[in-house]
Amino acid sequence: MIKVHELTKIFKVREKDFVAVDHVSFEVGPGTVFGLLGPNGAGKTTTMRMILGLLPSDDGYAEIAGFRSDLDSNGVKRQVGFVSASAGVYQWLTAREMLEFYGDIYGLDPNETSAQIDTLSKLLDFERILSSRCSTLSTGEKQRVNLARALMHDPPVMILDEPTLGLDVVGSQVIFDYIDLLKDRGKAIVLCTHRLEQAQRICGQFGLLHCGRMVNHGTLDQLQADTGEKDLVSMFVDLIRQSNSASEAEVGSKDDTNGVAC
Amino acid sequence: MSNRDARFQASWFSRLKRLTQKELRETLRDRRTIVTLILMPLLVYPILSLLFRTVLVSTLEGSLGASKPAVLNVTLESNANQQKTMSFVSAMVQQIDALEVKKTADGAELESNDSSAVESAKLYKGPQFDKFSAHKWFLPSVEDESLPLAEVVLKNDVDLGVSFDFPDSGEDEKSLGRSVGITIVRRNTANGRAAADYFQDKLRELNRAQVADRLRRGGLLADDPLGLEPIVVAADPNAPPSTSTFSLASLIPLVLVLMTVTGAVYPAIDLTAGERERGTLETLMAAPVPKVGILMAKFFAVWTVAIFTALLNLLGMALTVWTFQFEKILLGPNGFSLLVILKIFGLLVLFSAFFSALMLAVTSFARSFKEAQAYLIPVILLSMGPGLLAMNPALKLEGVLCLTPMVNVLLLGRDVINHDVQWFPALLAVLSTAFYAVVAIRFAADRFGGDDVLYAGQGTLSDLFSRPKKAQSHFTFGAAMLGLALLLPINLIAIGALGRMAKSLESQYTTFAIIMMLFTFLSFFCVPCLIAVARRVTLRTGFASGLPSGWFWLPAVLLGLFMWPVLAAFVDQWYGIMAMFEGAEAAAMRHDALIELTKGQVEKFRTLPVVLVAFAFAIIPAICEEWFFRGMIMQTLLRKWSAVSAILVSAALFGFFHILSNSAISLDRLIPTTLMGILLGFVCYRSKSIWPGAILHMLHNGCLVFLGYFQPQLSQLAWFPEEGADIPLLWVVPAIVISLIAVVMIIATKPREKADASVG
Repeated sequence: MIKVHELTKIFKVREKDFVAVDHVSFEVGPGTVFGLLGPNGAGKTTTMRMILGLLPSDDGYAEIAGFRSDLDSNGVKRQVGFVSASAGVYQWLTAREMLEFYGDIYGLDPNETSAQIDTLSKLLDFERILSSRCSTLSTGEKQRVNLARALMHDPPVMILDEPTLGLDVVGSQVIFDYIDLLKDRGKAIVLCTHRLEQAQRICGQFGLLHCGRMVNHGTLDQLQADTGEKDLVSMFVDLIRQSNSASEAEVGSKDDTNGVAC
Repeated sequence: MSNRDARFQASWFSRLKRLTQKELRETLRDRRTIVTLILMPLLVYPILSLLFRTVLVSTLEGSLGASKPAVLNVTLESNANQQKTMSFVSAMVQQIDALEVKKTADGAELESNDSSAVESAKLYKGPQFDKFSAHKWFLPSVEDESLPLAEVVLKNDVDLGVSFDFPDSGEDEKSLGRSVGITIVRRNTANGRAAADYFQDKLRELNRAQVADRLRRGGLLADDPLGLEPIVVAADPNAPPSTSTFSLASLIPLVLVLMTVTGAVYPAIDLTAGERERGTLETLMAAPVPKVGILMAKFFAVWTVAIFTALLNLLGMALTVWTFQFEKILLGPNGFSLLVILKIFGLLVLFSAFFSALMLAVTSFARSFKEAQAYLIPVILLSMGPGLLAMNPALKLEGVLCLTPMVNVLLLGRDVINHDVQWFPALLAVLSTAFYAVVAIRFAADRFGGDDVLYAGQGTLSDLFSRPKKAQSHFTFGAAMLGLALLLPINLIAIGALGRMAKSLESQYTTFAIIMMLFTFLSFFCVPCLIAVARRVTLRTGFASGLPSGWFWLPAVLLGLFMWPVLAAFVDQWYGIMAMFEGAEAAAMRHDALIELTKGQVEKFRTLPVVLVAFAFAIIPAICEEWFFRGMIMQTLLRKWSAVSAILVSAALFGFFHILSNSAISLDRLIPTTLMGILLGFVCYRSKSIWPGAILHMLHNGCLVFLGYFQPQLSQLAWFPEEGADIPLLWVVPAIVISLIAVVMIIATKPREKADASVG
């Protein structure tokens, strides 16, 4: 369903090349949640943006349900529901109007849109705020509306970039429960999150990104075997430590990094 | 899914409509839009009109006082007629307006023999000329007689003073056919102007009556060379010109345009930078809609708001003008009509399309609301410049002004109000404005939602000045722009300084030429070099100053030697094209002015030694300008943009810097110089070196300069065309052929791969 092949992104930072994503590859099948994990600045968000075709890649490609992001980004966009931590809402529109707008953008007819709004608002429990202006919603409500917005066109693939950022425990739980439900419905999901415990619970596969490189990826069992650690948190800390010492050694051999970490 | 896919392909017009509706809904619910849309027109015009009225009254009645006298002459046909004329004036005035006229002097006094004295019958009008049914002419007191008329008018607080200056009545024969001087002084108020206009109209009627009378009596008087116009309304030579320094009729389009802009500013920022700031832009970009579709929806939303703002402002203004009775003052005798309002509205619709697109193009660059504001404020302030320019009543909608954004709409608006619209310039103004709108939207669509805007952090000023630790192969875009930003004021100041020096160094043209050469060297060569040192840019790559990648010398030499007749012929044709726009007369005048100017320069530099001429006008400018324009600027642009854009933009800058030097010939130089810049850019792009272009530039300048320098000697030759004559076709055709061959040679020459790698 999702195939990421040698995806690479190089940014120019003060006239120097900075490799944000370095030949990252992974695959996600239907009914699987792929947890893309890594510390801040590891390249998770950049990878997701390239998968969606929002950022052009410098090398490699991503393929979603047969569409390649570098060749047919509109085709990719139709197959994907995208939620990011920074996603906002139209504050002067009501939740219903905003969902209707996105239904329209994704080519749904008005009846279909209306039915989807009913279903999703019930599922995500925000029926009562459908007629409220988005500016009056709480962070949790906004994020639920955003999730519903990404699901309006019932995409086979979901890309979720920190969907629980800024939410309280209950708010996050609603979102994670829902991700679980989506998985059961056969969607291929890429999830970026810092909530490692929940990730451990719902993700079938993991990818550990550090400094733009895929340090390790596989199922929890595979990771446990590789690292000898039991839970994701200690595994994560361990991996990053190893990786840091490796890159420090590498950096030590070069004379100048111009302040750019990794 | 297939149904949905089919709907995707379905009419994008209806989707565009729905997208626009959403944008509009969002904008119109925003309180801030409502403020500019409704509140401003409701409040601004009444407040403006109150201010306007106060200012109008205080400036006109207070400080300006009485006008300078206008002198009118009435011809006397005989001494006896002095009295008659005087009574006739009175009678006419009385008859037409049932005025009660009193004279200070009786008939006997008017016929007194005091040759030097001015016998005055001063007529004064009451301050409320229009409102009193019983008009009164006031009598001056005796002590007023010694005062100038203007002071009498001010002292007595009346609107109009009139004095009659009869010629010496002692010499009967000579005074026959002479004029009676009628001096009128009015206060600088609406009433004063109305009274003066009224009185002058009456005098003209009298004049016509006299002419008719004389013609009836069959013959003109010998002493009266003007004959048919016995009353000469002569303006005082010291009086200011009758046209005022700014036209109130052009104030209306300016205010309306500025208000329309105000209405569009907020939605333009909110729907682009605001959307990015709120985090909805990324989700929108992640949706399967083409960027241009989203942008068009935003454009239509901004445009609609702008149109509504324009409409409300127009209504607000029309109502205010009507309520406060400003029609005559603001709009002249024609006043407002529904048709004028409709035409102005049409213009505002067009203008708001252009400005909405322009603002979207600007705000599409911005990553935040604040940044967008920071970009838009200079744009709006800059657009005030042409706005104020358009207030000059002497400015006509013609020539290049038809194509100048903002100015063309404002001038057309003024002409619409004055009922003085010429269809061809109007059409040009409308079409060019529509064209600019399309270009701006195209540009905005390119930029909007681009990943550099969507995700990039903001560069800081220190980035621009920080010195890299390692050698750089090229200038950064910021550094090149810094060079450009430095050279513009340096050039302007140097041109000003050279202009001042030219006056004091009139006799020392050698010194002047050396200073000019030094200035070219310092600004176009040394400044870029300093920036290169500061930014550690390698000269060979940063300025493409290595050897060319192939054998481009021959075509460069050929072009250098043979391009000038081609460009000169083009310039001749260009006058033909310009003549179509601004009329043959204006084009011919500019052509002559250019020839005169060039003649002056050429005569001066013929006094210089030939070596100095070669250095000052050909060698140094060629090398230094190539160093900066094709070196620093074009090489930097080539790394960011396509070759065509880089060549065109560097050529346009090359053209622009050349028009700074002299305003009189500016427009004529712009096109040929830009064309030359394109050619030089092309040569540099192909050869990956500035040197073939420098040779071309040098020979081209050299040919022109030496033709001028040796013109006296050359014109002795039978085959040489005369000074100022067009270049003969026999010269142009071979020149075109050789130039084309040279261009083909440049295209055919294959760049060497090694050089390619080192420069590219």
